[in-house]
Amino acid sequence: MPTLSPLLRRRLWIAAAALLSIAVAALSVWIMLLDRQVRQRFAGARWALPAQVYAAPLEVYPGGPLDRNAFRRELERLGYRAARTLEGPGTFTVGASRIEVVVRPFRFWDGAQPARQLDLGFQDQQIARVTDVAARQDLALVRLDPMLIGSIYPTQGEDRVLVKLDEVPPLLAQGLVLVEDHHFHEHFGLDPKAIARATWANLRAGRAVQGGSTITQQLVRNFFLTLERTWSRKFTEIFMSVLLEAHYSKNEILEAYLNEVHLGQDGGRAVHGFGLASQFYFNKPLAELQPQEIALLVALVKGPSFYNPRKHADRARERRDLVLRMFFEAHLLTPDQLTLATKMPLGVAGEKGGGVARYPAFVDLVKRQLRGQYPEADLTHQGLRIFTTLDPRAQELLERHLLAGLPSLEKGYHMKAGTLESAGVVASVEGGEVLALVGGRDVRYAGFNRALDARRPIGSLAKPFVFLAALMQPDRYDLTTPLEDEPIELELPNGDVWAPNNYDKEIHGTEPLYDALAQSHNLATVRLGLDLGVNNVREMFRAAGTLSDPPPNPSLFLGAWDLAPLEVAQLYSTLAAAGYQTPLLAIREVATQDGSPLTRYPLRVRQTLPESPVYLLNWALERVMHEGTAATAYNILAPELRVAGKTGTTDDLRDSWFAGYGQDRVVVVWLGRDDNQPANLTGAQGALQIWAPLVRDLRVKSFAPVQPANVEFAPGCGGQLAIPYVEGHAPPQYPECAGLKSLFHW
Amino acid sequence: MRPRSIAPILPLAAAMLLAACGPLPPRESPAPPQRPSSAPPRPAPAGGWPRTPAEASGPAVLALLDQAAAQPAAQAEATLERALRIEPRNPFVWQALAGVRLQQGMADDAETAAQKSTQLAGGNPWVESGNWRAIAAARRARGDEPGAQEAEQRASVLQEQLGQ
Repeated sequence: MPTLSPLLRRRLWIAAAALLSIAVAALSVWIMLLDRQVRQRFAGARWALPAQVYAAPLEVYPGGPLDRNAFRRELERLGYRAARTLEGPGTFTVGASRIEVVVRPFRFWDGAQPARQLDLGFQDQQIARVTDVAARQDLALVRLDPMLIGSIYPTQGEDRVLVKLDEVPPLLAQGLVLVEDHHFHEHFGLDPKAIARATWANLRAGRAVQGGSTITQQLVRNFFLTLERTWSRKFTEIFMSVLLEAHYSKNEILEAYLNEVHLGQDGGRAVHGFGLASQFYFNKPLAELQPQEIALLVALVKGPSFYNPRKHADRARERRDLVLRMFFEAHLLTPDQLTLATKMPLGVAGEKGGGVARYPAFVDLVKRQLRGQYPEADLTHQGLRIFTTLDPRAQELLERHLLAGLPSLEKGYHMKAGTLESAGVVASVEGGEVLALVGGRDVRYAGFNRALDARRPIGSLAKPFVFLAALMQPDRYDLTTPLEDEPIELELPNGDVWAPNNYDKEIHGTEPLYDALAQSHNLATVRLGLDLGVNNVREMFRAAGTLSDPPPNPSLFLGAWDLAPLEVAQLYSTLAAAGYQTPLLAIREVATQDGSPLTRYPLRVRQTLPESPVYLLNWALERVMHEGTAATAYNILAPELRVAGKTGTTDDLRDSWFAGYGQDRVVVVWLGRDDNQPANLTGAQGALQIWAPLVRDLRVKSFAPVQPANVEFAPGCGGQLAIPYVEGHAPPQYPECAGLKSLFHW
Repeated sequence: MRPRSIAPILPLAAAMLLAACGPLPPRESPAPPQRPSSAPPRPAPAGGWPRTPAEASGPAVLALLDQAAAQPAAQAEATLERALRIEPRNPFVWQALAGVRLQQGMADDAETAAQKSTQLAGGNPWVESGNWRAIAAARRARGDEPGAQEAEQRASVLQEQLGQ
């Protein structure tokens, strides 16, 4: 073999040294880039906090309209657990007409409320007494912690409920390390022994049965999700893990892991972190989890889809019990705890998506109302706390009635299942608050939000505003002014002739004003509208709070104007509140992550309509319910419950609406078809059949308008049905009862 | 020239005399309504008119009213809105809200809240007189001196009736 000359050898060494230097330099640069990536991602993960969206808290006070069972349901909705004895925040005990509960602490917008033990007494379907047990004092008022209903997170679809390491149950922190990375606290990012053990086990089994990855490695993998499991990725992962350990303490890494690890899938949204997983699976905060629940979450780390407790309960349970045994063997559980925990069922809440992002249509409204005021980055990264107006009871009732009502109508009218779509709104009368919102029959799906975006012709829902415009002129019109329900033809600017018809295709002749409204007669309404002029009618809609522009055409009198259900609720809430208009809002307050108040959305009321015409109109709208097109409501409502409302039917029966109210709630329901084909339901046949049982179950208070000082009642025809009128003007005229169409339609 | 007949002006004279005897009933207008001062006071309910919040409110709302009275305007507003969620038609709460709005310099909102309180009070002169005083303050803050004086007059008339 020829030997190399010394010169060649030296050159080779120099070349080798140079190559080595370049390689080392390249490696250093690569490591520095990797290092920067790791640190950026780590810092980013710690600081990107989605906004948390809360429902309105339940106010608890003597006189509160909840009986013992209803209150218990509220507690369970918030994830409180019934126990034989109280065990700290989140637990309650039930007595004969009594509940004792330890209320969770909560930082409200206007101050922090500490955890307290309360003793509640119930009587006559109400809360009778609220006692603070420790202070031995009866309380006038206390709030429960509000329900977390969603987060506003970046569009990548990640969500978090952040936890700090010292807030995490010790069993979880220790158990996780035990199961996933026994030597976590000792290694430098990699665990060679674990790798060796795993390699051996895999070789023996002939396939991958064990992983030797440390928690640090898993964290890196979670940070930089890639589907390839190639050697180069593995190599990168190893380096990154070591770098991570170099920069951050074990506690910081563990805390990040607790908040990053993938633990489930909620439709299109990934569930990351134990805080969120605790809500998602068990509907309660991490601090309240029981040993078997903690064990289940730890069990899920290995494969959240494979061990999905909702889809693969047996597998999940098997692995959970294995984890419980590991806990016991490491002395994290006593023998009794192990026995008890193993006996417990999985305990996973609900079908899918329990606990978080339950009310997408409402949260959508919240996002829209915020969007103008906060940049997207603030909304999704600053951990803002958003306190909304949502009433979970009202929301669930609205959902339940829509979901039950639609199939029932489809069946009754021989429609194919799934033909009808729907939207609904429940709002408070005086407070301008949206209490419940549903955007479609698939209530869990964040799709097309019909409550906000399905603009459909309002049809007869427009008529009350025509009649209101008339009642604004008491020298010309009162509730019994005779109107002519006779054919009419109008020539439109484009030369076409508009000849509306009544729904029943009949002509009713002369009738009192209120009856034309109660029976929703088109011809009388159009004639009245023409007498008043379309601009007077448009003014009524503006006064009632519309933000859209009512079209300046006579077709407005019959509702040829497209509005979304929420806009309709806005209009009708002004009528319900005696002419005081309040913009409907979904948000009350916004606070920063640590609880400092940021913004308030105060109650803004304006009186836009005088009291007496509104009072008279409301009287007529009660006639709609008793003698008019909505009379079937009293097949469902108690006869003594006073409500006012209007059916809304459109051309060719495409849309079915009902808008109405009692003393404290306005409820609007729309039914129709997405393909805009006729639904073939009038307002009474469709929407009213959902509205009425909903109003009954919401326990809406009886409509009780305060009679204005300048309104009097005149005795009615034959001494019945006293009719209100504005003082100082001629009292209602009663032609002979026989000469007028009967006021009571037998 | 023959003197013109005074006959045509007789009806006018009669009308003027009548006008001098008592005010005409008001015409409806979209402006916030004012109770005609010629209208008789509405009859009190069976137990008499509630004079103070304590006579018309539940303990929860009373506790919130007390709390609000001790808070700066920004917080009092939130507390009173909380009270309105529990008893939305309590005229005393709306009146207290009018007071807070005055403190916040929101004269229009103060007047509306006072108006709303009157609407819900259903004729209760104890509540109405306080509301007219609040309305007077709101109008004065807006620079509407004649309006303020009119409101003050309404308040005094009611206060006289109550023997205050």
